[in-house]
Amino acid sequence: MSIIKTITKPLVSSPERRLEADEDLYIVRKIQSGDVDAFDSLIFKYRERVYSVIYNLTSNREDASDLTQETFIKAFQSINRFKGKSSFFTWLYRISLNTSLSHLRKNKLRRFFSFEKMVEEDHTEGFIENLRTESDSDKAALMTELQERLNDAFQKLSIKHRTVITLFEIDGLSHKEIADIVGASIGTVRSRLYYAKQFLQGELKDYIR
Amino acid sequence: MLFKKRFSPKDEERLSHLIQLKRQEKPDEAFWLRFDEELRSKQLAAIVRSQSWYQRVGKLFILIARKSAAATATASILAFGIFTISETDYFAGKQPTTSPNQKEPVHPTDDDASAIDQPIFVVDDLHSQAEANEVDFSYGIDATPSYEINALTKKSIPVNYQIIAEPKQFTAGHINSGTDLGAKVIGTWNHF
Repeated sequence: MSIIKTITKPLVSSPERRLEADEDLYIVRKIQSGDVDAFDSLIFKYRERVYSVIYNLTSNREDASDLTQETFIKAFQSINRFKGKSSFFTWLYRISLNTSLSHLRKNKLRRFFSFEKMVEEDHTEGFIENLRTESDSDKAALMTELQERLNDAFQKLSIKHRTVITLFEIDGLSHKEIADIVGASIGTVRSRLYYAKQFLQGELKDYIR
Repeated sequence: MLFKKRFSPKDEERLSHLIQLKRQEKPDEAFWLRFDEELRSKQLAAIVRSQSWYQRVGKLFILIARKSAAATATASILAFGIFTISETDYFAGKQPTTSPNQKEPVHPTDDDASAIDQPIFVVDDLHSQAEANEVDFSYGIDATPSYEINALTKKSIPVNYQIIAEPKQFTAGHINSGTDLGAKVIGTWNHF
């Protein structure tokens, strides 16, 4: 069953998400009552996360930018149909996933990558340094190589597996949240996650051992 | 099975770190400024497009009406004219009706033959002073014509009647004969 068709189940939020959902719902109600500018706060809050998910699904920064904008436009246009059965966050993620999957299917044959620049962060500095010592290569070159290998491995995954690994490992969502977003059971999410990890371990074994 | 070899928890942890490096692929501030501008313009376009269909149809109708006011007026006048003409007896295919006092005879055509079922002859009293069902013989033979006989169809009685024979005027003497011109007088108009 396609993901697009199954993303219709309501979300039961975790406590953290529920608090966030309440805040979002308040803003959504304002938009629905005519305060269109309130939508800007939702854009500002979620644009990076939505962009990140779409970018990691497409590995193309221009497409990711367009699809993120399309996601927010779709959300804006259908905000009056949002009844609050799921959290705004889940609803928005579903839109972004459906938009991305639709784009990927339409452009199966026209695939090329364009990467964002990797911004080094403190918490990964140690990990990168270890890899550099092991591979005895220049740090910048290693980073470029890693980025290419990672994105290449990601794009070899099926859309379903790529979606799950992106939401879990990069966006940091729980199994339950992913299950709600993709409209599958938690077991299915775990299974897809396991397969995706196994596959990536095989693809990236040079950097793991 | 594609992956027979199991990886240790340490390997799994290392893989997670590796994947999480992708979190560092982030656009810069300039990207978000451009993103916001583009999104804003798309949002405005979406607001315009999101008007309901009836609003758009209404606006389209007004726009067309403004652009073609003269043509619309001409078309309206023409339509009214055509409607008015088509409602006349001639174009509607109706037979003209006549009033009881009409002197102009109308002769039936072949097509009307079926509609004429046993014509009734009616005598109109031309003397307004006389009672309708009383014949006044005081005028004598040489007096001016006193009666007019018309042949009517049953269908047209009593609101309108259709004259299908040449009206004939008679004096009181003629009426006494009972029949004339092959028609039998059966009553006066006031009987109807």
